[in-house]
Amino acid sequence: MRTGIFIVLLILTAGFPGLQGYAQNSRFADNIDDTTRINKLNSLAGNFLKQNQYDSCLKYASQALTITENLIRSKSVINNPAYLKQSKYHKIKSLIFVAECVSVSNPLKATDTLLSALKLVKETGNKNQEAEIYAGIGEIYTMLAQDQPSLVNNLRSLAILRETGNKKGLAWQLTIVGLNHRNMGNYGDAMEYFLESLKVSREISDSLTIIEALLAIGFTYGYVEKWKDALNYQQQALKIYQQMNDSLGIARIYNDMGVTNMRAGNLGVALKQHQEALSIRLKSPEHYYTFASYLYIGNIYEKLNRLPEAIANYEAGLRYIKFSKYLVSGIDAQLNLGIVYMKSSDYQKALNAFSSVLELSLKIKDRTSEAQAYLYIAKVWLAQGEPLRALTWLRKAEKAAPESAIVFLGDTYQSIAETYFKLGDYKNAYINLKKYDGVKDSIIVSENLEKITTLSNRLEFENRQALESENYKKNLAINQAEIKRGKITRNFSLFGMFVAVILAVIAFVRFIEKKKPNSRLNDTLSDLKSTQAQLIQSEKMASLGELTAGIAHEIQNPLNFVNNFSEVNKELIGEMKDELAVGNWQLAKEISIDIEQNLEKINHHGKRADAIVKGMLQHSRTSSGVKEPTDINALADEYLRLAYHGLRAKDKSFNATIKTDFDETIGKIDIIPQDIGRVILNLITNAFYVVDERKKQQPEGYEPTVTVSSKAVLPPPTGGGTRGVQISVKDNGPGIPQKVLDKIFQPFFTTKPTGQGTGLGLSLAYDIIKAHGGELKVETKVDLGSVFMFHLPIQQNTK
Amino acid sequence: MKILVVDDEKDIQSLFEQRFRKEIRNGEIEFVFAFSGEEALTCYGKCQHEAVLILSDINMPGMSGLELLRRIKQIHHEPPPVVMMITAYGDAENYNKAMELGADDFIVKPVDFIALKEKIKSII
Repeated sequence: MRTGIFIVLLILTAGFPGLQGYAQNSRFADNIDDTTRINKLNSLAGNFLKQNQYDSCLKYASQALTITENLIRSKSVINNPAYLKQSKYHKIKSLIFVAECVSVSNPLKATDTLLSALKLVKETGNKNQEAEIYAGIGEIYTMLAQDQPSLVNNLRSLAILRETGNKKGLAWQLTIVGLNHRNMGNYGDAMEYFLESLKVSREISDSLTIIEALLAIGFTYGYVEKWKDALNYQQQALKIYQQMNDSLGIARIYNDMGVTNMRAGNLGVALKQHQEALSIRLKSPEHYYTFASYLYIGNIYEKLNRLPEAIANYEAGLRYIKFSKYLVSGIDAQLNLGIVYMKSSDYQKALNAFSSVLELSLKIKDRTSEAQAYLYIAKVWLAQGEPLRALTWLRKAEKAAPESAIVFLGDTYQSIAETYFKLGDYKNAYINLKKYDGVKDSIIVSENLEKITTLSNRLEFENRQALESENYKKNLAINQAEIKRGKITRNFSLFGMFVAVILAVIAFVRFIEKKKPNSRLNDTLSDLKSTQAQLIQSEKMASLGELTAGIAHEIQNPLNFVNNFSEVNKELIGEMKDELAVGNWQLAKEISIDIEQNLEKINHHGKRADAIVKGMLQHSRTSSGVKEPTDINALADEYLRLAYHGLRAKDKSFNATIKTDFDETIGKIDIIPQDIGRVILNLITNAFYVVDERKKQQPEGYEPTVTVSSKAVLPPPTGGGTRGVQISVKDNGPGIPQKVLDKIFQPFFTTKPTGQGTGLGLSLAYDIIKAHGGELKVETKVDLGSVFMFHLPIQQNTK
Repeated sequence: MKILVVDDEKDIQSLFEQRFRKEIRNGEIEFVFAFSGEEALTCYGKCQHEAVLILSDINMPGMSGLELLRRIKQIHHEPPPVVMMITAYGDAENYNKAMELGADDFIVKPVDFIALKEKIKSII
């Protein structure tokens, strides 16, 4: 299915004058023999190429090449310019075959071969061959997903074809350039080329190029999700095939329309069309297309959740792929089959299917599908309640997944986290959730980016519609007139000859189309990856910003005292001097006491401002991971203010009564202040959130209150226990229902509306407290509120 | 002239008393302090005929200064008291809200007492 374009280009050169001119010359009898052999070999190569038998094609093309090279070097040929030119023509032809044969396995070699052919064609001046070579180079670049150089070469080819007046070649090449533009997302430009191709094709009444142009236009409409127009063009193509009584062509369009309808969500219609196509395909020896039709049908059944039918069709399709050359396509089918088996809880068969995926992936060395196979095998084990076995496979998936396969990577991390969670290993669950979180951002960003691209493409596309609809009406009239006059029959014999080729072209174009968005997505993702870290950081800063917005204002309160008390002191010193000057010692002394007290206040509020700034900085820093002696009361108090004023800054209507009850006997304890601060902040923020929610529902007679307290816990006199500290955050919110209570420490669980909570706060808090050797607990009563408390053991070496 | 000062920070009393020590000594101004919105409301209820001017912080735990403002404006009293809001949060939203609720002035911390004194004197 990868042959396509090269063979089509043979059509371009079909009009070459051929071998007349030298055959009469008997002096070159052996050379004529050679020429006949070369012709035979080249024609064999061409035939094998049509059948996608690259090895055989390469063998015969290479043989032809060797003979031509010997010929070109022989004296008799060198002395006969006409014959030399002829031989060079054959050599170029063979070179193009060789390039085609190796284009998939070794695109670099294919390009080199074509470049040497290009050098040769400059000597012979055969414009059609030159156009063919440029188009061939363009095609290799398309295959390598390098759109820009592909376009450059295809445009060179197009320019030559415009010059030579090879209308049929021009019609093809216009479609190819259109596809280039479409791959680059320039749907408007693509449309212009397709329309010109349609116009040229109709001028020469070439049904094949008409159909290709119509389908290209149809697919472009599909790209911008204009299903009605897409179907309209596909319908036109269908009509032509029906006029020509070409069943395989009809089947092809049914599949195309089925795809369009499936994407448009008309599953019932799509199913019928694919089934129609299948009934035709079953009579044809092209097993690949039979397989593809089964796959489409299975897909739709899967979407309709009719799993037994989906399985039946996937399995039927897989029987056909065995006879086909495209074993690789079996991967998709096996994967789908496995997923459906898994959905139907038939785990053994699911495992079999995924093992086949693995086997094929290893064979073709495709790391993405290999990783997919591991991931799904793991999912089967997970579904069967065997997390340990699943974990082994998940690790393999993580290892195998290329970074570009970011969606699978995200899926894998999520599954790993789930598995660890099931195993009770919260630390590793958290680590993997964090990895998932990192990847998730990229996925979301790339999805959004894609959405934006589609949207802007659609806009640009619609701008070109006025122009398009004018042409459309004119062309349609011409087309109908042609069909009526029966002009179309002119191309019948040609069509018979090339039908297989054309199908291959379509398959190839499809293949490219399928490949394209992925590779573009990968490019985008690799670009995004570099900005991903920044994105996450800025997300962090945004949440910090919300909290610190309150703090920036809050610092004005202590500053108010610092400024004003110092100004008062200045005045007081003036007054004191006056009193001293008149000898009023007693009054001067009293004033000096006031000054002293004010200085203490200045000092106190200065320190307070300092603490606010430090707290802010501490929150923005990542955890040092080092335990240090910390006054946990001050820490709790500071984060209470931080949370309160942060929320106030965000929501002016927010208010709550804050109560504190700190046990001053605790002193300093060894903790990681940033981490414990984060826990306290989280508990307090949650408490504020629930009381605020309740206040919104119950505006009268409810006083939102949050109490933060600390208590030194002494070991029981009987011994055995350790000294510790208990911190609790109490709210008078609505309480937590039992259903929710079971899940609150689970990662990603949140009761907040989508986008408002990450669902990681409490699970993170849980992990931090656990890492400190403590315990996080909750007590709750419906309608009365909840108390979150954690206990931290105090080490003996605490100061 | 009686001025009710409302702020949850206790040091505000000492600050006002020192800043206005001459006026207090001369008997020009008498200050009453309340350390929460609730306390201010009770106090105002008790001595509303005397209080001419209320200076209130906005950000206070429990009843906020804006809520206090709303409630005071609901109590019909002739002449209505002048209410000035004093806040660290000088953003537009806070300002607009205060003005909507009928605040007579909006002062941003740190307070410029010289300007404040002039404003108060213009009211007297």
